[in-house]
Amino acid sequence: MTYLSALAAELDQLAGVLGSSGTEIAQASRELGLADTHRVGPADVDTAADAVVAVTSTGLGQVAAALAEVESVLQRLATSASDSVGGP
Amino acid sequence: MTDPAGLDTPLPGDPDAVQVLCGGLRRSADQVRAAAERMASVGAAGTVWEGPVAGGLVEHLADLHRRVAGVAAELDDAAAVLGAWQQELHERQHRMAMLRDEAAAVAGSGAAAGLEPPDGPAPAELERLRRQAAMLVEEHRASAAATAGRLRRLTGAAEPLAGLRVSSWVAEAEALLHRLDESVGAWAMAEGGSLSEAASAISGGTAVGATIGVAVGAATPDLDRAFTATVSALAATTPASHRLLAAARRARTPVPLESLPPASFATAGGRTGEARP
Repeated sequence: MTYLSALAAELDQLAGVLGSSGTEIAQASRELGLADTHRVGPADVDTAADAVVAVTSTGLGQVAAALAEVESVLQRLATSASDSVGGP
Repeated sequence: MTDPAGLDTPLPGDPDAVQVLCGGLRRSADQVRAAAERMASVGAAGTVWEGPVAGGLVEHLADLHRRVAGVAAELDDAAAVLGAWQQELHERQHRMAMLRDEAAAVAGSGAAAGLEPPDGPAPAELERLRRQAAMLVEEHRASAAATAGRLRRLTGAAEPLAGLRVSSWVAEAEALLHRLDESVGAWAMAEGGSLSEAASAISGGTAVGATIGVAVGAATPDLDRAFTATVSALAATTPASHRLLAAARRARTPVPLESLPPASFATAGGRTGEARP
């Protein structure tokens, strides 16, 4: 195994880790976004629960999108490094 | 007669809806926590990829991991707050239902005895039940206000994540990765030459070149081991050894990773594939 093929394997592994993490976070964001925060209690409780869900879901969605972008770049690099040595 | 004592003030809230929301928050917390734990492994994964490019990205990911792990804890806290609210809600609605049943019974027995017309003044017992109901309503309002306050504080704690400037973080990470991409490209270009070109570029007519020439001539299946040993020895001492490694690969000769010079993609010095001492 050459250095580049080892690098390709490692970049691929990192991309996989970030991809799995991003998928789970995106799933959590979607679940939160679907949460029914009405009828939880009086209006002030409903509003407060809605804010928790909205803020958290939005933030997690942003994190998931960022991880997906970085995963994509890492995969491209892994492919580039792998191609240059004929595969890991 | 549904409300003989005027105990019709509602106690808003659906315990089943609260339970569903709590379950969703806890599931989300579990998913986020699992993702955060997986992200934490990235910082420990750098065995080959190192240098400022890898370090910069890992540092960003470590910061992101801390924030995401914090969100998992906040989701747990929100579920706990709403779980406590659900228990109180259920208990108060149950108590209110009992008061209404009791009031209905009192009113019914009074009317049956001809002591109290349904629309007449309430007897002392009904008045007592009405006061208890009013206290229950007030208790419910105070509890709701406290619960809303706790949830608002959690929102404040979650805002740093929503306010995380992810776009700038991604732009910086992309810039770092672009540098890595360029380094990989330069490395790949350097590996593109044939063995003779590599030998020429590295050593011209020196003794190293002669050694390589001998190695190429000797690269038969029976002498793979000798070839590998020759290339590995050169790789350990030659600055542009990656070209030799490419040549070894083209000769289908395996080169063990541990024999390679521990290079990095550090670009601070303007060189790629630089061997460490």
